Amino acid sequence: MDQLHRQASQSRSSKSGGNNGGNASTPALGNSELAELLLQQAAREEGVDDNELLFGTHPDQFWFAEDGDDKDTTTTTRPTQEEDLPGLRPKHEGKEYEDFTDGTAFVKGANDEHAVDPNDVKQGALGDCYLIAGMAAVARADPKLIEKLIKDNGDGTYDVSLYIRPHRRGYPRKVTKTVDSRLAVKYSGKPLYAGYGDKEDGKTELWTALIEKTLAQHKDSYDLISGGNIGKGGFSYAGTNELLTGKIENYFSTDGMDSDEALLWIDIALEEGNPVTASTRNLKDDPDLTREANAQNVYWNHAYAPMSVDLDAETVDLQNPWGSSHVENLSGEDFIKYYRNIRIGG
Amino acid sequence: MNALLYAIFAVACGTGPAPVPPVKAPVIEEIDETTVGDLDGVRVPMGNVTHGEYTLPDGTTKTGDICSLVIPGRERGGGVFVGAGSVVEVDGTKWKVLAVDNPTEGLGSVRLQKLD
Repeated sequence: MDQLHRQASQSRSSKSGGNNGGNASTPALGNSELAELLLQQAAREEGVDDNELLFGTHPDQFWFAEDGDDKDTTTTTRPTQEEDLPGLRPKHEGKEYEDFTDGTAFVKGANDEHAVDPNDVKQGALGDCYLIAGMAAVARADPKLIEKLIKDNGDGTYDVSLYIRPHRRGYPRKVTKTVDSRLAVKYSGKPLYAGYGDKEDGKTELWTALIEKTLAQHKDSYDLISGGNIGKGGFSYAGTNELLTGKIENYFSTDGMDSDEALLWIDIALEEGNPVTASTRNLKDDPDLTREANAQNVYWNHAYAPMSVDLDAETVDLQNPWGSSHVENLSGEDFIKYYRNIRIGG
Repeated sequence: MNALLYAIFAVACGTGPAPVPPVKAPVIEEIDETTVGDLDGVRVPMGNVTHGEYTLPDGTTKTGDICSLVIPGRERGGGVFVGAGSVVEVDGTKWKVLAVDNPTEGLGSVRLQKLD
């Protein structure tokens, strides 16, 4: 194993905590494990990728001792959150958590006006577009509101606040949880759910993933914050704008609304610095309309964050929480046809 | 070199069972409707699941459950509609669509297998 690979393996070993938290210790190499490694090495020399091998044990969990390794037995222990890590979606069982040791809450991108920027958001493999689009909307309306939600403790943990209703008819209250920077990852090592934002000077921006994780922490599970599950388990969800700002948001159905009115509501919200999101209708039973909508980057049962309105041209641009495939120059008529509501925060 | 390694393996195992070379596991990824999947490190969003015509690698068309995959470089028009048996290329790697799940309730999904 070359030095680089060895360092990466050591790093990964110390990062992998699984769902139970804590640092994994490096297992000793027995005969059968050595044999397995040799077989894997032989397979690699025949051109087989690591990802294509069936491992009894992942090779990154092993490393070979070298001269001097026994001289320094100290290990750096980063504090971890007290609560168990939230469960993953059932279909993602087996994915691991990894500590983003280079993580920080906010990083100002090269062309960004603020460290918190709407372009930081990137939805992952979780159906929580309502949350990610809401984060983009609040970031666009007032970046400082997002900054106030997260306190970086400087030790790999963060105090993250959300505004939660104690019950359906109660006013949202600020509830703070301490989470660490361990995030579920894909095989590529990238976050499985919300992605990271900017990267500068060796720092990776995590605010989106931290807020998503904190909400999952409130429900003990990422699966329970996915789309239709957010209201389950006695959790009183009344909109992402409220969740992030504590202010009651207004809900406008587009049924019966004309396109001019819809665009005007959005334009006023953007002008006044209020967070605004819009969700699409369910077009499941209409394949032709689905294709027509998809062709304009409008996907049904999806939430977006309006970016700008051109009242003269009667068009609207909307940010897709994927971080790509944004909607551009959508006519007011098509907006009414595809979108079922507008949510405006206070 | 490999023969030597297999020999070392035999010694390491002592009198254990005969060595069995590693088996290639198929790489299969699943992406849910309106979420973003990861195909070999490339972010690939999946749009909506619906019903309609799609094209197989041999050029023939078929009708069935389809979904739109928004593949980098082919985002124009909202993505590519694929169904079971379709093959798409993502950053130089080919992926075969194994199935498109179109449930009556909840999110649909697509399963893809990486081709060699």
